[in-house]
Amino acid sequence: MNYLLHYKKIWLLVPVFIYMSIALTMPQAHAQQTTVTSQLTHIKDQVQQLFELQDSTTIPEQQKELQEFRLRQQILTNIITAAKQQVADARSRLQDATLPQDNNETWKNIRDTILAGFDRANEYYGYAYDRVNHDSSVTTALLKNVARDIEQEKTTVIDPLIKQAHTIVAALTVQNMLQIGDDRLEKIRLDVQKIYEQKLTKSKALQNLFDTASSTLGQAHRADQNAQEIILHSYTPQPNASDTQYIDDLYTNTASSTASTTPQDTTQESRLSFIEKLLQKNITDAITGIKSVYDTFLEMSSNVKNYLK
Amino acid sequence: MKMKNDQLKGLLQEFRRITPRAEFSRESRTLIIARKPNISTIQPHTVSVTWAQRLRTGAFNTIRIGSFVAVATAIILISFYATRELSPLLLPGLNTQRITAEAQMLNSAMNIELNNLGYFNTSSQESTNALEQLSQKQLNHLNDTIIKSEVKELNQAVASSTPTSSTDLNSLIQELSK
Repeated sequence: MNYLLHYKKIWLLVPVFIYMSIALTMPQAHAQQTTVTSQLTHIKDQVQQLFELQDSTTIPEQQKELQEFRLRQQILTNIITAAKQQVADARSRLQDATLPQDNNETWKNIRDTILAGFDRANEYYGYAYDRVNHDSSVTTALLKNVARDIEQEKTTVIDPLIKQAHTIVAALTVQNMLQIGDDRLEKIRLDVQKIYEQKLTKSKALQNLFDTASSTLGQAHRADQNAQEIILHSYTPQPNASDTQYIDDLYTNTASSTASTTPQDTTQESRLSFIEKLLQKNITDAITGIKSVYDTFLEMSSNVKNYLK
Repeated sequence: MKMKNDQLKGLLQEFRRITPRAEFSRESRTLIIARKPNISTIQPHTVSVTWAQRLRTGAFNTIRIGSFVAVATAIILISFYATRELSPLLLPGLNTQRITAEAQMLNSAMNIELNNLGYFNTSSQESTNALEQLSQKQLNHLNDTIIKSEVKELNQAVASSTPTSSTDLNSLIQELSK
């Protein structure tokens, strides 16, 4: 009998661990953001220098060409470093994420595919870095070609991978946030129950606020679950028939209800952007829901004295 | 022997002649005049009266009642303010401090996610500000300065950082390919 009670108490610690895992990884995530951001600022300054150099009339032509070449080399090197950092940030966030128990194999498969993509991206950037710096036959023209190549590879292959990684992490983090909201809702439910049982208030206002918060939180849960389902069916590297069917159904259902979000043509690219838009909508809906729920909580807690009259 | 009327008259006349000695009457008169007067006939302000003496008098009841009323009022006031301050204990779920701390932590975490995803959703940003403004009012009660300063830093940094560093980087790469 005592053992059972002990077991129960351990489960109460679960939300605390979730809370701490979110709170403790935040400074790290913020630090990653500032590294890339500060690198970007530096690169912007250097590009400005390049423009000023190109427009300058006081420097002799030959010297100008040499300076421009050196500056381009530096800038491109810094760009590659920043791009590698973006991949590293996305990689560490994806690796640290705890995958759901349901459909765990599919989640792992999706994650491993993206991580393999990140490995290839690192290889590519390493190769580009060498071309820019160690190749003895580097010229300004070559640098321009490398820049063009990087832009192509980055926008078509690497950035979508990064986006996928961040989307997965967002959907799973939002699930943890919803858990915190659930726990707070339960604690408040007990308070509201106490208030009405002891007939401390005659007005229904407090109960109504609670019901609103409860239903909004439920909606947020559903939005996040939708996002996770879409991820499972669309990010999977080997989609089967049911996956394709799921995506098609999504498409037709959304096409019938909202003409604005669905593109008219059915090309692969437009399908992809449709999926991304849908994921964006679901994740932002879940986040907006959580914010609204806590607005309600704050209103309830700061006005509870008024209701107890 | 029967008293004759004449003898009785004589006795009575003699009794009438009894008077104190002049010396005795003089002494008694001096004594009576020299005797100290009774205290209760004198004005009260000329004499100091202690509390102990007052309590021993009829004022005891008034003080009893007065102190009883004062203590009762004190108990009522204390319980009134105590329940207002102790309501966190009576209603642990609706604890404003804890809800605010949770909301701020969640808000920062959500901002990080939104920034990484590069979602330009102005409506969600507006609701961010509403929540921050609302929770700002409660900040006065927060004693946890660690949460306060860290969250403030995060919010400021997140607000100033570019939402889509990827797009910025790509446009810079474009400049280099020209």
